Amino acid sequence: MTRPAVRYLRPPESLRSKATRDLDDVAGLDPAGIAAAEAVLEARTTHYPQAALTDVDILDRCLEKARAKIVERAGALANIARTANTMRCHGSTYGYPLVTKIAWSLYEYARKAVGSEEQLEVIEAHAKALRVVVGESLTGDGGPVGREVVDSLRQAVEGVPAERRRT
Amino acid sequence: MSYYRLNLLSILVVDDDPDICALINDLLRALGFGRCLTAVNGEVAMAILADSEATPIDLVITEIAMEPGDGGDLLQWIRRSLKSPNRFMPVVLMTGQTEMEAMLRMRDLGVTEVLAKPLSLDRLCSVIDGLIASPRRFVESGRYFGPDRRRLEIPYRGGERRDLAEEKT
Repeated sequence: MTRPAVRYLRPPESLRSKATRDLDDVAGLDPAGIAAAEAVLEARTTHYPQAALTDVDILDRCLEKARAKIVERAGALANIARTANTMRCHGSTYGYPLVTKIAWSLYEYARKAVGSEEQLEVIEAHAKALRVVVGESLTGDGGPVGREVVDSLRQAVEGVPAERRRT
Repeated sequence: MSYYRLNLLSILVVDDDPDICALINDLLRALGFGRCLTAVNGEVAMAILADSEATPIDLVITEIAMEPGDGGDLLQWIRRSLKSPNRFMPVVLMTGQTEMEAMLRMRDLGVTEVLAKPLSLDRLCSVIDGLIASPRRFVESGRYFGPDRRRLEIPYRGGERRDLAEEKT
């Protein structure tokens, strides 16, 4: 059996050839640009808590819906997982790794949960924890309070495991 | 001493999360990129790219999980489609899910680099710097077209392989 021919190719115009055109002795990214980007991130970070609390409001509304109508439970859980995923992807970027950690736990839980009352309580505990973390500005790992919150959620998840949906 | 002329580069950011799109867009503009475009999914991105011959796009940063047209579909289109404006275009995939199976699929579709979410400015800068400073050669074989997946040149330090083979027999 013959093996397919393998060819190695150089891209016709690389980013390097374009970004270093007519330049000698190039040192990399401009430190002034990096400083400007840091300032952008800092400015956006100040608006983050409000956006995160809006996401927690969505979680609360989804929980209400899941409790009120069984037929809407699956949709509500999917929305909870989606919102948790968004929060997970934003938290650390804006200095709230604890939000990322809790939202990750919530995402993994909500996408597997079937929505029993006990499971909704675990989800509610996550939503409350997220509100506390953002409301109290628990940046970084949140210190002893942060560790306590994460521990208690882990215990709650272990106590009421999420079940996989039947397909 | 001089720095990269990012103002000469155009970039397309693709994500269905408007906040992430806006954040990356703002960061790239601050870093000095000349032209930043955004798209909300893979299909919109393909339409923008297909129409970009007059003003070429140099780099794509895209989320994996979107619809219609996820990051994998977009990557495959860029590498394989006859409508692709540049099959060699660097494509950076962003994802919050770095499961091995998904990563292997992206590697085999010809991804250039992966950016894990949550994003950090350090990592974003490091990826951009790496793409410019160390362009990778491409490989074309029957089943694969994309950047060379072997990044490390590990020198062989053992004995002559022929000798070892003879010892075994």
